[in-house]
Parts: sequence; C-alpha cells; structure tokens
Amino acid sequence: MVRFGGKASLRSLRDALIELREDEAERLLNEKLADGENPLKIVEWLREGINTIGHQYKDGAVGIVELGMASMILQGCLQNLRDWYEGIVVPSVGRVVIGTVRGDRGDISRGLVGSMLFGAGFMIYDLGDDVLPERFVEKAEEVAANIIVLTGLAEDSIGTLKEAVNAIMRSGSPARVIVAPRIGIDNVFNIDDDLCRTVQADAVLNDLAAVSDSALELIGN
Amino acid sequence: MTRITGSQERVRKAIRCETSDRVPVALRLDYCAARWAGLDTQSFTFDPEKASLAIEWAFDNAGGWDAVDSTWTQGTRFDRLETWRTPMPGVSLPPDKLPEADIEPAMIDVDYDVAIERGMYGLINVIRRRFGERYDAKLEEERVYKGFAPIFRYWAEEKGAVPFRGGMTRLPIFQFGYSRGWFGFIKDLLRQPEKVKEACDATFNDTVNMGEYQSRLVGCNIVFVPAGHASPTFMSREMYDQYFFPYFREACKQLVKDGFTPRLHLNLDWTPYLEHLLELPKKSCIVELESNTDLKKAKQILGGHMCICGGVPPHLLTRGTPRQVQEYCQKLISELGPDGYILMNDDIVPIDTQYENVKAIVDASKTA
Repeated sequence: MVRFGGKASLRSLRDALIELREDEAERLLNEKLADGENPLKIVEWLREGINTIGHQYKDGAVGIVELGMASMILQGCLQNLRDWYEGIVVPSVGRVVIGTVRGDRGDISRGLVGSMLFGAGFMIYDLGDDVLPERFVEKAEEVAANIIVLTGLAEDSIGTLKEAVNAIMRSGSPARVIVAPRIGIDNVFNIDDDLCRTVQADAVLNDLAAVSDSALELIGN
Repeated sequence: MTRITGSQERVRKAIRCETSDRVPVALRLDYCAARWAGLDTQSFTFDPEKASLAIEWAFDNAGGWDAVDSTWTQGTRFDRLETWRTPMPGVSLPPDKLPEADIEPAMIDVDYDVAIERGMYGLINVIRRRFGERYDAKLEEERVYKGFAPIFRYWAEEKGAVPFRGGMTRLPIFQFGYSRGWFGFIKDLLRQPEKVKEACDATFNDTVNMGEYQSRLVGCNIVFVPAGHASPTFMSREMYDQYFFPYFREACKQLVKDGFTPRLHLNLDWTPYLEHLLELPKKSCIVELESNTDLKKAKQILGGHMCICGGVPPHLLTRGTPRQVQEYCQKLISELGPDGYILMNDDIVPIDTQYENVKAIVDASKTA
C-alpha cells in the first residue's frame, strides 16, 4: 500500500510541539501510531521539535514558561510512545542520568534540562528528586552513562551538590558531571565562580541556553 | 505634626528623581540578620517583633541607614495569608532550617471559575479552607496587618527610617502561578489560557485594592509589586503582553492615583523591557533592578523618570571584602546617582554574608 503524506504528518507533529498545540500533538501522534508509523521516526521529529524550541530559548524568542509548556507536551508524547512500544530503544549521541540531589525537591530545572538534552540527541534517564549520591553512581553504571546531571534548588543545596559530585568522582565513574541551572518558580539562582570551583563538577551552568552545547562538548561532539 | 527625618526626606527626593545630601541606602535583610543577632530561623520566621529586633541590631551597629525592608512580615504572611504551603522551620522542618523554595500548591484547575465568580478573596477562601481552616481572607488580612502596624510605626517614628514596603499587589498571573505550582501553571496555560485570562481580568481590581489596604493598615504608602515571572528569561513577549504588562501598567497608574508609591520588584534581566517603564507615572515609582540588568542603560533610559534601586550583587556580599563592597557601591553611586537612585542589595542579602560587608554598603553611601 502506498502511503501518501506520511512525512508531512510527522512534520505537522513537530510543528504542533513547536507551536505549543498540545491537543493537536496528541491527535497527530495517535494517528501515526495507529497507522503503524515507525516509532523511531516519530522520536526523530519530536526531537527536532524540542531542539527548535531550545534554539528559540537561546535566541530569546521564548522564555522558561514556553520551554516548560513544550517539555510537558514532549513528555506526554514520549509516554504515549512508550505505552505503544514498550522497551523502545532510541538511537542517541549519548546517555544522560539526571536527578535532583538528596533532600531537595526543586525539579523545574530537571524537566527543562532533560528535554533540552533529549532535543540535542541524548537518551535521558530521570531519577526524580531526593536522590542519594550512590544512586547516581549506580544508575550511571547500569546504563553506561556519558553524563550525569545534578539539579538542586534549596539554599543549602550547594553542600548536597558537592556531596553528590564527590561521590561520583570517588566511584571512578567515567561519566562527566554537570550541575544544572538552579531555577525556581520566579527566579534563577546563580552559582557564582567561587562556588563553581568549590563544587568541582565538569560544568556548572547558570544558563539553560548553555546546557545542550555544554553536554555535547563534554562527550566530544 | 509628624517630623520628617533626613532618611525619609532622602527617600522621597530619590522617588521624585531629585538630589539630596547623599544617595539613600535601602537594605533587605532577613535570615542573615537573624544569624548576626543570634536568633534562630523559626523565631525570625514566626515572631515579627523578634525579627524586627534582629534587623534593628544590624541597623544600630551600622549607624543606621535610610530604608528598611519589612521582612519581619514575611513568615507570618506566608503562614496566614498565602494559598500554598511552604516547608517552614519548626513546622515541617527543623527549627533552624531555612524555609524551602519548594511550594506545595493548593489551587486546582477548576478554581479559575471560583476566581471569576468570587474574585481573589473568594479564591483565597476556597483554597485556605482546603487546609481545614475556618478562614475569611479579608478578616485575616486585616488582623495580620494590624498586628504589624506597631512595628512599622516604631521604625518610622523611633528609628527615623522608611519602612520600604507596606502592602503588596501581586498581579493575578503571579498569584495563580504560585497557587498552582509550576506544573499546574504550565498545564493551565496550555489547556485553558482563555480561562486564565478571564480570571486575571476578574481578580485584577482585588489585587490592587489588597496592596492599598494592607499599606493603609501599616501606615506605609510603598506598595510592593513583584514581577519576577515576567522577565524575558521566564516569558515570551507574546505572553508578557497578554498576561502581564497591561495589568502592571494599570496597577501602577491606579496606585499612584490613590497616593501610593509602587515599588516594582523586577528581578533577573529586564534590559530588553526598560523602555516600557516609561509608560508608568513619572517620578512616582521605584524600580528595583538587579545587577543582571544593564543598570547604566537603565539610568540612561529612566533617568529623570523613575527612581532606580538595587545593584549590589549577592556574590559580592558573600565572597568580597568590605573594601571591595565599598568600592563597588561607590561606583554604583557615581554611575546611577546622585538623583533618582537608592543604593540597595539585589533581592535578599544571603544568609552567609559577613555583617561587615553590609556595613560597607552603608559606609559607601555616607562617604561618597
């Protein structure tokens, strides 16, 4: 059977994500799944969509709120895909373990960073919040992670970020460590240069716009 | 006749973009003051008198400054007036832990209809009653702010300082954002944007009236207008135009018309939007900017139109020496003063700041 317009529909899915049309993205995804579309192709187009939003954020055309909206649509689509194709393994440029450190539930950054890195081609393993240092190490080993991303928002999270970085370094894990921007509901809390030196991760980022490039650089892409 | 102190005259002149004997200083101290005064965080959070005493310790030891942010109100406000739960010391946290930034939202998606039908006070009642309380938002607001009033009077009449905020006008979009939490807020903007807008329209007047009423109760005519969510970092221009600026502009106009001074708290980088502030009433508002914003450009654009305050970054206070702080402040004074500028720390002085660095801010103003 000749299928017409398949690529156009996937492009429409990508555009629905970029333009933050959640209902349309869900409808188009369900159509393509029912049509038997290759799930990896769907992921590619979703990736392109979130990557475009990431670039729009870097250019200042959208803010953290719009990035959050796109991230929510993306996560809905990916969950839907997993429901249809259990165990789907997506090609990636690298594997990222991400989590919010022990005792902390600041998770705005985690979702946004995860989505941006997905857009940049990474496979994301999200450990959630309140993650013990040894859990980062375990998961990184399990999935052969290239990068571990730590997030934390509480005023005393510098100590727990440092604790997690130290644990990862001591374990001998080959994964590179990024400390993500600290984003609250109405503020971004910068980590100054002195604290960056204290934490001693491979990268300490204050700007979401730098996340993808920093990760790609760390894996040598 | 109420005497007007040197500090009060200095701040008034700065708001009117006039020059006085020196650039005034405002400081927003909270838990750092508790630490310096040996007060635990639970007491600072829930006992306004003790919190005020802690700030007074810093004030007296620095030889006094001009405007004191009324952070003695914040714990009580969070506990008694807000529509979300924040983990607090001595309640869900150990007594000496800081309140956490993690908000436990209590507004649900259908509450926008409550806001539309019953206004902001009605919405607050519905949400607080979910906490299991018998609650009346208007009565509670009156009770809480009347309770603060003696402390405000003390600072104005006994210490001669300007309490740097009375009440607060939190615009509807931000009230909904905090009340729904990040993920709820995002969902609402995706799934019911028209409802959100309608609720903003329906509750706008209440948010302006709240700021005015609270300020009257404490006898301080400076109304705090926070706007962190609306910076270019957080929001696209499209969203800013739809949910924020028209309300912001109208709120400022209304507050000024009614005899109040809006103190506009614009954290993060507002450089792209500085020209918009020219639409606000002239020589009647204070815009609180941080060092993330291009402050020299702000002065170029807003000089003669609006008083600027802010500019001392937190990392300088925690990592710098008193001399470095003083030199930095003197540079700010020379670049942003002498008229229409109030020297102030960005946002809040961090808890691990050395007291001597805060004193250096005060000294910079007095020796410039």
